[in-house]
Amino acid sequence: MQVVSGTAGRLTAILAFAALVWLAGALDRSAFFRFAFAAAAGAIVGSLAGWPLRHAGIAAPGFHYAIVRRTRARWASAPSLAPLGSWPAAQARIFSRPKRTAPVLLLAMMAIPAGPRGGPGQVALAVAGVCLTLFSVISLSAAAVRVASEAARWLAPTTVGKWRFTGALIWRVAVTQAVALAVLTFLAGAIDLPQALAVGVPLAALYLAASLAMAIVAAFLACRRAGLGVSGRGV
Amino acid sequence: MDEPLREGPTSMDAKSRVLVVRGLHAGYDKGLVLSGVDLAVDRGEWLALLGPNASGKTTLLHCIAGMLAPCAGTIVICGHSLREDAMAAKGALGFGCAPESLPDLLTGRQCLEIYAAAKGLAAINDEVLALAEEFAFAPMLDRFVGSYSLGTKQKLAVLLALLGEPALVVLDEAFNGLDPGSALVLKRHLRSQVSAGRRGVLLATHSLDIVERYSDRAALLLNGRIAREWNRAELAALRAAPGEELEMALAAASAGS
Repeated sequence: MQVVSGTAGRLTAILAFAALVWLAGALDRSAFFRFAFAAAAGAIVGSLAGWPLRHAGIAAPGFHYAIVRRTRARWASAPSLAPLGSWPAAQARIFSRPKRTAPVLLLAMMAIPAGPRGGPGQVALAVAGVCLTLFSVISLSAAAVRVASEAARWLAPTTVGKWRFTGALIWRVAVTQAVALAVLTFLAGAIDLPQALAVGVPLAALYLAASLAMAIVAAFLACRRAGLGVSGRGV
Repeated sequence: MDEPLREGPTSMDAKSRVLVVRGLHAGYDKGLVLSGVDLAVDRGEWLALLGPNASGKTTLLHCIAGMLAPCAGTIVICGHSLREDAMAAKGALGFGCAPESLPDLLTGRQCLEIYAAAKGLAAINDEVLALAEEFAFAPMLDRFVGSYSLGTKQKLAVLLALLGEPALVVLDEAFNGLDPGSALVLKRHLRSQVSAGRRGVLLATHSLDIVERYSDRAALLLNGRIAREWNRAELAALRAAPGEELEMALAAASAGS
């Protein structure tokens, strides 16, 4: 009942918004009904597909999105801090789960200047892909900041230093973000190479630098609060 | 029948102090929780820390683990001041964190590997691997900690505390949620390690059976201070007495304070 009422409520809100756009004259009658049909069909199919997840029995919200991609049924030859990087990555997958990305994606798709005949499918798909990728990149930044304090507190009774801790925590975030931003820039370059190089590359580099700086500052502050790798605390 | 309490080691080397707490004052924004705690644990000794809820047991353990900076007082672990030489002090410490502090989004294996690396170990010690076997923990290694039961999280917290064979093991109500079989395994393991003089154990607990049957000493934390201590002879006398002697003694000490 909760699932049905929630989905119906969201569908109604979307249709009401589309109706406003229709009344404002930005959408013709047939386009509105095509959109309404597609949205209703999507809601029904999506609800049925997601139904089993409601009964997954997992306590934390979105926990099932933090999948273990690769299990290793033996110990590493030498213990390493590297798996610490999996923590913000898993948190980011929870942050960017469909429930969170769907509203953003919907707004972005509706913002496409489709015209009375509807936008080309390729453009819609490209916008969707860009939105999802950007959302996951931003989620990674937020996850790194959030996980830093929990991880520092957990490791506070150990002898790890703050530089090692910070490096282990953010390396995977940095690599994933760099790859995602490079792919975005490359795709943009396929449309307009000079523009992509002139705008996309500096923007991507700027975002990556800002994200890393934010993660490093968050990790250092977390170390300081938790007493990780710090002597001379207290009186 | 549980393994009976054995006499601890007697050599001078094994009797060295692994923990000394002097005049410890600590608290949070709302005010002081600890106001002048004095405590010591020897190698080859199991000290049970008792006290009612919110008496400051966890605060004291967090100070010893270096997670909370005290307002005043000193903490020395194996001769190293936690304030002046935190790395050396923490190097001799094994802290069993509360289950809710474990990272839900890592697997048990990842937790053990990260913690071992954070302690600077070249490998996970055999003691931990053997105890994991005894706990039947192997099937849980590659699952998310967030999917563990309370008892399984406690097992992981204990395994993390024992990484690197620390001289001082500090556990916060580590037997909560453990099934009887696993609890017995852990009690016997800690007792054998303590009796062999390999380490000292500080355990915050409400389980009086552990105090009566396994601990060498007990201390009651009340109103931010150690209100009463029971030495080995006093605990032996309590063990010999029938009924609820320790419970009565605790109640009397609490009422007296």
